[in-house]
Amino acid sequence: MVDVNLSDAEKRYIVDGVKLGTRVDGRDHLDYRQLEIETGLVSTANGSARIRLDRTDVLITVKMEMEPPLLDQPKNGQLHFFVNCSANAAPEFEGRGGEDLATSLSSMLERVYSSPHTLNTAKLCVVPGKHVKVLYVDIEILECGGNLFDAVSLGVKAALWATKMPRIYITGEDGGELEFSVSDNPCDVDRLDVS
Amino acid sequence: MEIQLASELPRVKAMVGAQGSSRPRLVTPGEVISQDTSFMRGHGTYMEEGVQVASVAGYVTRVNRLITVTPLRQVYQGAVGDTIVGRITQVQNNRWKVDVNSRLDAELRLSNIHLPGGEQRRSNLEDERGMRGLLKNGDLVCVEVQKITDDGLLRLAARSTKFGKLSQGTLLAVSPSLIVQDKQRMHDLPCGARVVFGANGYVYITPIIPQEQSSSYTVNFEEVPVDIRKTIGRLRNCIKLLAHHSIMISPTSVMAAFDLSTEQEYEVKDLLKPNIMQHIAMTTVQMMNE
Repeated sequence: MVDVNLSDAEKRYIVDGVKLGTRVDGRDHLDYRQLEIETGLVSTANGSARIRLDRTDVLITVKMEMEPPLLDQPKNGQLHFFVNCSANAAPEFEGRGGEDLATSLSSMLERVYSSPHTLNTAKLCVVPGKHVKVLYVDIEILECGGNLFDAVSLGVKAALWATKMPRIYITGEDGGELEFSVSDNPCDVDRLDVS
Repeated sequence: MEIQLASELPRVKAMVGAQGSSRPRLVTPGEVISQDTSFMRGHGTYMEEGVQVASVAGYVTRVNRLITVTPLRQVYQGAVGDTIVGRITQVQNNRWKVDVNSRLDAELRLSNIHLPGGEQRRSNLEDERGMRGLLKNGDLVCVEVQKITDDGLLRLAARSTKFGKLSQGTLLAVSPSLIVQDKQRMHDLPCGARVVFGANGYVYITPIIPQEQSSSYTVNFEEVPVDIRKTIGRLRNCIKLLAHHSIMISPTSVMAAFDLSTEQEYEVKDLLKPNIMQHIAMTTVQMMNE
């Protein structure tokens, strides 16, 4: 994370405060700072969210593609997470500095969303064994002000909730290959169940 | 976790002072101030094609034939005699480099500090080796600006006992333009905490230690009790909300906001919410104008 330069006296003050159950600004252990969530910002993506937790700023976009499924999971869609720690977020992220943090964030998200209780990927199936919906979730860290894991996971949930996937209708069969038509109607969409 | 709709967040309202007639004239860079060439050009202006143009965003002040534009927000430039708070970034041969919220890191020489041991003496080789024992990377110090060199580098000094290393507490960074000019920078507030309003925008809040230590370079690591922490937290949040609403920060305004928040029985952490912040800020401005 971001390196903070503090004096021993300040560190002692903070640590003693944690022992006594209070933070420097009067919050308790588990209190969040001011949280702001905005969805639907990026019109070119299927779903997007921007989350601001005091100084932390994260932008998430979700895009949907149709692809053949994984061999061992023919009836399930997939979720892929890509985290990019922008160099604007913190001086340490310049060049390849943010890669370790990015990999740990994306592996955390993969673990969390691998369970069917988080998101049921069976609902993302179009034609079992042949075509499934794949969601590419891109996370851009715009500013790093602490508590990235919470901010990113809240943002991803918000972005997935806001995702609108156009309905896909199977129109016919042409020599073994199925034909699809994607609905142009902006209201004719499928939503994800993120409860 | 409290959840609120974004549309319900308070809009930032303009807090106008009581006197409307003597409103200063605000200009932006590039705006023409006057066509009259007989005015003398002060700081913040320049001549372009025979007219006087502002080079900074600020308010116009006119004294006889001198026109200046004083910027609203500015990086700390430094003035000789200012008391400021800085953080040590580097330990060099016979000096320390200090971050003072300015364009350049300032310099604190070993010969300019009050050496431990009481009596005045010249620093020798042993002192140079032991510099890290006095102040190391990350330490906070309260110092005075001694001199400003031609290229803007600040030379600092900590000659008397009131300057030196700062003990347990918390640091806040606000814009230096919001700090009121004051001879006394360190104030012992009636609520039980000591606040150092550094002229450079660094404000340090610390509990009041009953006895003064002989050497100002040892830190008191005694545990600070919860009630003083609450006072410090409340002061910190009050200063933050005043700075957020661009209200001048002085011992009076901070104590006004502090007393107001205690009267209204707000919890320390409630002062982090935008609508409560705005309420206290507006009421403080009203009280200050009376």
